[in-house]
Amino acid sequence: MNHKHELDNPYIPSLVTIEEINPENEVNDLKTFKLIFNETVDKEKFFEKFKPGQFAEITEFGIGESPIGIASSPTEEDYLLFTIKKTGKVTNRLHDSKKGKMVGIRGPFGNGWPLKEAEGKNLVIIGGGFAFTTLRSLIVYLIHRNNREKFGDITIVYGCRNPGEFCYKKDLEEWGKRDDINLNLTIDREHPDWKKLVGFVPTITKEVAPSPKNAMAFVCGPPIMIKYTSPVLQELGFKDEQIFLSLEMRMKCGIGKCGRCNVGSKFVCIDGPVFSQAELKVLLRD
Amino acid sequence: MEEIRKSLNVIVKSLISEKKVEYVLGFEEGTLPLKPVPLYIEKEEDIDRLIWNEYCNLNLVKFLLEEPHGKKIGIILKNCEIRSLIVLINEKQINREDIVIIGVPCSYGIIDINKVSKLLDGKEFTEFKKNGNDYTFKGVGFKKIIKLQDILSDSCAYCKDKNPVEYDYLVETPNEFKKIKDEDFDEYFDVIEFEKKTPKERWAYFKKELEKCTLCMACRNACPLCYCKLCFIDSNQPQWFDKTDDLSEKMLFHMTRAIHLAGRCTGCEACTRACPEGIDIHLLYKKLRKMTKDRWKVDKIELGEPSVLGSYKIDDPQEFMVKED
Amino acid sequence: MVKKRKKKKEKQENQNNQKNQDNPKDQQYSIEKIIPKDKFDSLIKGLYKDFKLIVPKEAENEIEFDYLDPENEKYQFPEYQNLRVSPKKFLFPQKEVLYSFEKEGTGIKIKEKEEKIDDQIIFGIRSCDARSYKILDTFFSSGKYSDPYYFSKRNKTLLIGLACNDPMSTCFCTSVGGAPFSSEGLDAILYDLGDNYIFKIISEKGIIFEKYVKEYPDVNKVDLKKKEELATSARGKIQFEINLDNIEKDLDSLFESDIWTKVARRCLSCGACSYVCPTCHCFDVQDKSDKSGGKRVRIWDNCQSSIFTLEASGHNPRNSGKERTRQRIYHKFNYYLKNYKILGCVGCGRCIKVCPTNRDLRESLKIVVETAEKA
Repeated sequence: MNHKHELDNPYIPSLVTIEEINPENEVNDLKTFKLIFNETVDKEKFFEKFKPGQFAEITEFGIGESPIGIASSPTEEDYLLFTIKKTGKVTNRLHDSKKGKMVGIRGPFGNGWPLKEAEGKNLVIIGGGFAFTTLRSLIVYLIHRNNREKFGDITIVYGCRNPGEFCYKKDLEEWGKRDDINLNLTIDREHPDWKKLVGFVPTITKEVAPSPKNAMAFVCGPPIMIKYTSPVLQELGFKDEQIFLSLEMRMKCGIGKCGRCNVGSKFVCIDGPVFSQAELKVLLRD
Repeated sequence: MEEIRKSLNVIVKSLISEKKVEYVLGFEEGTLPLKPVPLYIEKEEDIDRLIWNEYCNLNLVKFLLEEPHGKKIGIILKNCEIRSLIVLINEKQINREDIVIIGVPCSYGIIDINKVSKLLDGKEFTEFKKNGNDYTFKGVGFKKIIKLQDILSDSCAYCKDKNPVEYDYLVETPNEFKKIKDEDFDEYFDVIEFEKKTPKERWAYFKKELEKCTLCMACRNACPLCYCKLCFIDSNQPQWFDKTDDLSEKMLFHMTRAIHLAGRCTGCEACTRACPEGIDIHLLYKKLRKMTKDRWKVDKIELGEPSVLGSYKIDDPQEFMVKED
Repeated sequence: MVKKRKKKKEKQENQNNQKNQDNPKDQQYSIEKIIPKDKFDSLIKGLYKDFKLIVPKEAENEIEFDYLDPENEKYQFPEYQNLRVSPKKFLFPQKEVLYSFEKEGTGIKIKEKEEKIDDQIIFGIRSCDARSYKILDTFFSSGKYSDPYYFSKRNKTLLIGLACNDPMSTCFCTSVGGAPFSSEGLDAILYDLGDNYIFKIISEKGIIFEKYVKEYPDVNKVDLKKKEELATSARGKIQFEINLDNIEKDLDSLFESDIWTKVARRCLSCGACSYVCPTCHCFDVQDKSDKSGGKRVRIWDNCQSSIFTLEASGHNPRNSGKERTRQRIYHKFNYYLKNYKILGCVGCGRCIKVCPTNRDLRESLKIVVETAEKA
């Protein structure tokens, strides 16, 4: 029975070691973990499937497992990055970890951002707060020397409440220097140390977004940001089929079996986490 | 019973027609025999469906918890349920003035459908008839007569607290129900008998019973006094309970719940009757009722009185404290 | 008009592969034997030599599925209509270890579960439960990932049914594409004719049973006629029937309807219905550990519990009984049709029996269908 399936047991994690832990924000509840596979064969299997926008299940052995979006790009070949907020019991334990600790990983899971469809198009990438993780993966992938020419203009809108909340400051600095990215960083309210944009993400999006013609929008952020950004994109002329969102739900298994992450008939873990606005419109959402 | 129902009709009708409440909570027949369901009487024509009998087996107070403060609701209750409502009023979960209590003196008590099921070896009965104390159950290929006392909830069998202590309307009942004699038995008879067993026997009993538990939470969710927004069993941080169905976890759940109910549980036994596995869990709660009675001389919950374990009095017994040498 | 009706019929067939047919296509295995009841025990003993047997057995206060030890007892089916608890747990246990691990210094060593599974037969299941395994097979093999724990047992399991002469008052299999005498999903089936059983091989896998029954006489016309009569009589005993041909569409239009407040009003949000359900398959995953290591286990979970979807952030997309009740019905009667073209319910009625507040799925379905018709 079931020869079409992958032979490996999808419930068994591979072992990875924490190589670096970097704080991302001022309040220090957000850290980026750099993970290295213990076995090359596990790494190869992972990278065979890995696309920006996917997530993985990270195991703290004896504590549990947490689904986390992958912040690194498949083009960063030797490691994986996860930016993790201290929220539940697994993430709390991860935050207390030291370099060298072994944790488990299963994945990559989910569909990822629609890269094939994005080829040849102008892209606007919109993110808010710490939900920028899989967007970082996407951007790093897009601007990689092997990939950049496949895509049109890249516009980024990244907003946070205050300057201390921006993740990936080194990347942002680097992207800001490039002339093939239109990078727009914004904070909600004026701040003495802040020389860049001020205003909410939807407002800035309205000002900087490209023409909807031959364009796609990738959005990831807190629900309130998504709620107000979608109408702005529509106002600009983006159709539902051109807007892609990454969703979050409580998950356990990551492979569509445990039954809790459905949005209507779709499971966020296998059918998502990325859905077009058009797909979401027809789903029955609680 | 018919007389009680008639009196209820009159009271409920006046409450509804004079718009004194938004609805009255009672029971109606369900789709299966011995399985009545909560009835929300919002209009006068709903009253025809109202029933009142010895198998109205849920504690309706549970359904008040979801309603917002300030909403006027009528509810038909027996005394054990009234006492559970008193606990909620004392604990400031429900405002007394929001609730119109229609108190009904309890006659025999409530039938435990799990006991029926056990006596019928789990077979389905599709019909039952009552003749005095004899209940006749019929199903495919069988007919069995069972005595009421064999299927009454245990707490009901030994209950002496049958007259409503708090109410806005009291249903007049036939004399035989009113006179609850202080007969020659102890209210805690079943606990006392159980206490005579050796620890090993008692352990064996609880082990056998609790092994059947599937942790479906029907007992907790049927109990009006289990109203925590996040139950300890569901808490993730910290996680007290590993959520597997190991016996140790089942024990942990039931014992912790019992302790949370000590001095609060009024013995309505809605939990025991709600259990899909027919686990006899009532002894655990009743034992704790007896302990609060023995130690604090309090076993009946009164309006305005703080709960025994939720309050401190200077003369509280302290025999559990260890003296320093 | 004609065209429309045809379309409806096709859909109906899709819905459950076979609708209300007692015997699906596999007539080609024409092995149908008569087994006198007094020879039944020797059939059991014969099978027991090669298979573990899971059968309905007398337990303390009811009849339960359990492993049989026929060396010390003569086996006959006890009298039962259907059992309170479904036989789901033999392939999908309430608690199941996924793997264990050991701590080695700062490192971790994962040990995959080694399980020796014997060939087994689940014997004496009713048609509804047989169909429930088909649903579980479909679900656990769906998508990119097949569930290795379920199939490690499923692939070693054969199903022999016992057609249902006396459906219970809560049975509604005929409304969800089943029938008391349906052999769908079974490898072989027994028909109880009173003094004899007909033993009929149904599936290709079931051919293996040929050698255990070859000594018995073939059925004759009289037996078959009697069986047909019993099938008709059994079907007549089903007390509830509802047309669910349009249930997917009906539910599509009712997601925001206020019927869900009414339907959910009496729900206690306990898991009783899910745990007795033969097709509910949602689970939770938990780690257990001590100083030297630990294990990961999965445990049955249920969508009626509020923590099922509670996120670490505190947000809960299904925060009230209304959303949770709706989810359970949509999962079985809408999402299943969308994803797998089958219904997720076999009409065994167990959830109706077990509910402490008598929330009756049949009533809920009636409300859905009637509301949709009015709209």
